[in-house]
Amino acid sequence: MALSGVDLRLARGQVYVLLGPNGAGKTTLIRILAMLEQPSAGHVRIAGIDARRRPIEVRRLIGAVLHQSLLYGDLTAEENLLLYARLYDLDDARKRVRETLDGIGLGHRATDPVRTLSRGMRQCLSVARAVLHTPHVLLLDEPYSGLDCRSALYVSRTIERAARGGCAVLLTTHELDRGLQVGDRLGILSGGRMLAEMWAREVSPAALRRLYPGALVDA
Amino acid sequence: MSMDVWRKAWALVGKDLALEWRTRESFLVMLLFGAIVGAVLGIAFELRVDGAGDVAPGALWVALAFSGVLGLGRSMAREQEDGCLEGLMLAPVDGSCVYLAKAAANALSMLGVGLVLLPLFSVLFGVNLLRPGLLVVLLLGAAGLSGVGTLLSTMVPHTRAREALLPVLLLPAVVPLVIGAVRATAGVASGQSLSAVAAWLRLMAAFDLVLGAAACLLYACVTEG
Repeated sequence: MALSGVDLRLARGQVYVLLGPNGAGKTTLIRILAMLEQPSAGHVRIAGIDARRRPIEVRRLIGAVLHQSLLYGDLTAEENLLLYARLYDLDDARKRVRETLDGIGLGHRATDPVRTLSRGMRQCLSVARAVLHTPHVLLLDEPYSGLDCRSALYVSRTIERAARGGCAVLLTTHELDRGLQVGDRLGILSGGRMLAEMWAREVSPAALRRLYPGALVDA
Repeated sequence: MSMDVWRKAWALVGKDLALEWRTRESFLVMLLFGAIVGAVLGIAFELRVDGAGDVAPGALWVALAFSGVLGLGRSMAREQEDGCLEGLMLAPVDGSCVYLAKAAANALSMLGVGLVLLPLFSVLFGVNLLRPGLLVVLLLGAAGLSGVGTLLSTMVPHTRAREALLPVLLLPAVVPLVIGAVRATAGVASGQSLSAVAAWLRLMAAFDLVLGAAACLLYACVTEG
């Protein structure tokens, strides 16, 4: 069993960072919350709506960044975002997509196929896709993995902006310092169990490492 | 179904057509494979049977079914790259909408290949397949192959024997459709009107509707686990 007895509550405007080593169950938890996998027991509620009963409504409230980009390599950056804008029924889709691309510094690459973009650019585009419809819950699975400073900064700013707008953000990472930097609340997952939860402002990296060295071997 | 579903399905069909237009990889591979199958069968029958033209309808649908398998596999492989299908599953889109769009795009590809193969098979087998009535047969055949194939091609990537499993599952499943298509094609090619082959067309239409509806209902279960 990948997860056992995990009870997680995300508050509006809060950035919750889920820390844990590889194989801890972080990705499984994100995939369950994103409704890409069904839990064998338990349930997911987003804004009080049961995800299993009203999946379409819940999906409208969720934005997710997974390990893969979820973008079509042979479509342009603009076409990819436009497709999602239409699937989410966004008004003035073309204008919104243009503004989003300009916002992530990809306006000049809007008509280039996604496969020609760098890893960092694709990740920024992936994050832009996830927040295009202004979700209530933003799920990010290792969003900083393999990013340069500039792309990482964009991801951090997007997270901050989303949280300021009232979005609940759940982010997984095994980078302890990064988690402390962007998170309001931290959870430590190991072996599919939530070992501990704490407020980021109340704990230092050194203290966290001392408390949970086993769970943070990759940090 | 609501306008919302059709609008989203149209956006997804547009996406598939744009991808195909940009790469042309699926269409060209299907076309080449269909042509090779036609050439090989043409040579084989020319050497062995009298009246190779009589086997042209069968050869055409064998070529279309096999090239269709290739196209379906490629279409789904494109959705698997970079988790694109999961991206669609994250969006507020009903599984049936995704299915309808994929099936329509696949059917259009098969129809396009069929339209190019008709004159080719006419030459190879010395029979006139350039008749307007064959458009209806091609349309019903492509819809049926695509309707069942889209569901199966979504299921097989989760298995070990991905490439081998799609034809193994699809080809037996479409036997009634292929029989109807071959009979209707033979009738129209010999100069009969569409009403003369209406029974076969009805068989194909019934196959498309029943299996298409079942596949549409099952698609969400397959993609959403």
